Amino acid sequence: MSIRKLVFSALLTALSLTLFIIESMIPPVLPVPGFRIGLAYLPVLFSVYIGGSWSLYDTALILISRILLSAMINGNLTALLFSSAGGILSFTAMALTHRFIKEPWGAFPAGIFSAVMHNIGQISAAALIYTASVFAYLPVLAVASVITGTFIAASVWLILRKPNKIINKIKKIK
Amino acid sequence: MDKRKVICLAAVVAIVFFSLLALLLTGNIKNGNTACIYSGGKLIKTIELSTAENQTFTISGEDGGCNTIEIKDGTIGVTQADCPDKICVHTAYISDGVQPIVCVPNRLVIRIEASRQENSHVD
Repeated sequence: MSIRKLVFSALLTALSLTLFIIESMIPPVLPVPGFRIGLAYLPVLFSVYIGGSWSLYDTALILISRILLSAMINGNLTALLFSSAGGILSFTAMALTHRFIKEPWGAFPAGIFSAVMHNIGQISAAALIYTASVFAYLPVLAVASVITGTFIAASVWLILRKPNKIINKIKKIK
Repeated sequence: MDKRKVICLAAVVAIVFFSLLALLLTGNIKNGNTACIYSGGKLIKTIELSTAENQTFTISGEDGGCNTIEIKDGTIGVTQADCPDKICVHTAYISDGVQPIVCVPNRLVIRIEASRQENSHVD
């Protein structure tokens, strides 16, 4: 990994972390615990679908460092467990979708599936720690994450859908 | 239209459909109401009204006052009391959380609360 790529990955991580903090300032839209808009996944999804010399390995690095850093900022160990359980599942969903669909519109299924999988992972972790009755929140969270996932994916798609000078430059970073 | 697009769309529709189905199904279960009987400020008995059989029983308070409570078709009420005012007897049978049955002389309160699981909050 070259210095340029390292710097750009760090930049995406910082972007993700900033969005994570901004998101926690927004008052909750739904009165369901564990509900988030998922803005922090915007740079992650972007790095999956930018293509070029970017591989899923870089995405995994960005995601892992984002999860660890956000847990350090929150100082909450249970939140670390929840977000890492969600992170692993949503990364798997993104990677699988990207395996089959490499065009920019694939951001939509990838975003939606990863958002749903994130919630499934999070709820499963919560069920392990608390009671199994937290699964009652899953349907609400699933419907909400379809909406938020579409929103995040639309943002990524709008950035990537047309070839653009800046995007092409980022793609070539080795 | 691309075949993969159709598959993705179908998957998303399936997610939404099944979660809405699950929402509706669990919504029915959550309607279960628990009658909580308090005597002297302490919770002494809880009864799941939606599943309880018709029955009558007597609760004696700390000062020796007695109230006979009847459960009938998912509702709960007081049929007999040895208190002077009989306000608890005159209160109709209740099945929702709008109004509790209170017997002040015997310090008895019957309140309907939603099923316990709903109150637990996960952070």
